[in-house]
Amino acid sequence: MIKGIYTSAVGMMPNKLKIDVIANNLANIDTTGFKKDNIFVRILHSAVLDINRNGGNELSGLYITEYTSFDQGNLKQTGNPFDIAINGMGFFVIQTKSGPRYTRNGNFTITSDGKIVNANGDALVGNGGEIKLPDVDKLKDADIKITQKGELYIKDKLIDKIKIVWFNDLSKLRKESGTYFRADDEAGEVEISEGFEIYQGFLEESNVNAIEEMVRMIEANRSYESSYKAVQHQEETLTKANELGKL
Amino acid sequence: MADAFVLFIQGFSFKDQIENKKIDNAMERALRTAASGMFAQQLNIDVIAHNLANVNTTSFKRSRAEFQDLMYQILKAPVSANQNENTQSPGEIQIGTGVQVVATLRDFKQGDLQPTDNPLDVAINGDGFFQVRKPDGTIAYTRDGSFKLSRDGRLVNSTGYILEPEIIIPETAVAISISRDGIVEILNSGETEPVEIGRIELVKFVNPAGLRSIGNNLYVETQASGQPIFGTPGSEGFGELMQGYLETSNVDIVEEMVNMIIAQRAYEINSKTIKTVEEMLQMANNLKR
Repeated sequence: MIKGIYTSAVGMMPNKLKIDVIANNLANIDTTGFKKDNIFVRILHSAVLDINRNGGNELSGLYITEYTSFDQGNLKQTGNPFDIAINGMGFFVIQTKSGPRYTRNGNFTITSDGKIVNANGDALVGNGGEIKLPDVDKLKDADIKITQKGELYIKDKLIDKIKIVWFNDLSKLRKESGTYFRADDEAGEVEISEGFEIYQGFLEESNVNAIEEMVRMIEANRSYESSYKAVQHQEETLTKANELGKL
Repeated sequence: MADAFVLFIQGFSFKDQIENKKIDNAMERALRTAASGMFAQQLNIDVIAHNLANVNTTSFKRSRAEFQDLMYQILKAPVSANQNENTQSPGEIQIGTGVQVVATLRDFKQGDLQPTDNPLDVAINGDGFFQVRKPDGTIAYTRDGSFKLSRDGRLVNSTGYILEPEIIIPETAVAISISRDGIVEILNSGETEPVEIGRIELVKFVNPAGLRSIGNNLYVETQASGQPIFGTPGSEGFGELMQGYLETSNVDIVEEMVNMIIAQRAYEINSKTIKTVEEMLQMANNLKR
């Protein structure tokens, strides 16, 4: 009977985590290049099995996985020449102090020494390392052309090509603050030259869908509630059982 | 026992709890995440309100709030002690902690040019800023070319700051003409040939979005904007001057209204998260009657 309480209580816990994830998705509904997360409770009943197997003495947890959805976000036109969006596969490579990071957030500005940097001040990487534009003091916005393949032209002169990479195993990517992703060797970074189009003057919106998140929130909330009801129910039953011994 | 039970509900074994100090405040995380969302949207509305308030401000440039996600907490999923081939070890779980506003980016898109027929109104068609000298001697930059004459005949902006380099218009002048490349000529009364009295110089910045607004349509340079680059109007990379025109605000009301609706809805949806979490916390509290 006590196991029953645990089983029901276990049902409450992943729903709390789900709400955490949904809360983060919803908070980032307006964040450029944000990719939503989802929580999967893979084998809920195995926790119960483990309790049985261990005689209820040792408690084990749940099998929960989290994954990031790399679905395409909508492209929003901004007209700013250094706002660039990827449609399709691919990530921009950004050189940060702690090594290369990957992002879908193409909201850049240009520094006085000609680097293309994001809001964190980290530089965009091209095929020849950090992209550096020559003669920035004479540059007009209209001179800068970025093709759909990511080639960067100034007045029809090829300067560099924006490096676009993809990964063999996207599930190995880890999120970091600043709409960055971090990859380890296992992720399998590959530079790609097709499967995407670059759009200059556009930003990729967050791929969070409010309706979908609200539905998931209601679902998690109700599921939490039913587990809660189950705990209460069993507690009542236990109370009854305890009363049986009374004379 | 009670402690173990609480830990268990949170999904972590006691060992996890000790080894991974990151697991804390698990119950309030979603609340704080949603609150960060509401706070960010409030700032977003502030920016939109400022844009809308300046829809008629000469040469005003709209801003937009730029969001980024906050750090991620890595929670180690509890792994069973007796794993077999049927139970895989799950990967780590990353839980995001919300959103932040990282920057308000100013959009230096050209505003429309509106004819005013005032000979001292000058608009810049293209890149560039006028320089004005503040009373403290430092230089500020502006695109607002609605100049006036000071008592001693100098060209000043609406705040009374003197245009740099100084242009002094003598009292004898009956007409003033400013060419597209910045040459200021006057016609003295009784004469037929115009006389050049000065040239208006422009500056531009590699990263104008890095300029800091100080109000009164003025900007000052920062490390992010870089040093000013001086140039003649109409030369390479600089806009031309248009006498008798003013640049209107580049705020698009429809766009701002759409942004406002989006921000309001995003605010609302984050408040729904808070309500949901509150309900769940209430249930958790009621577990022990």
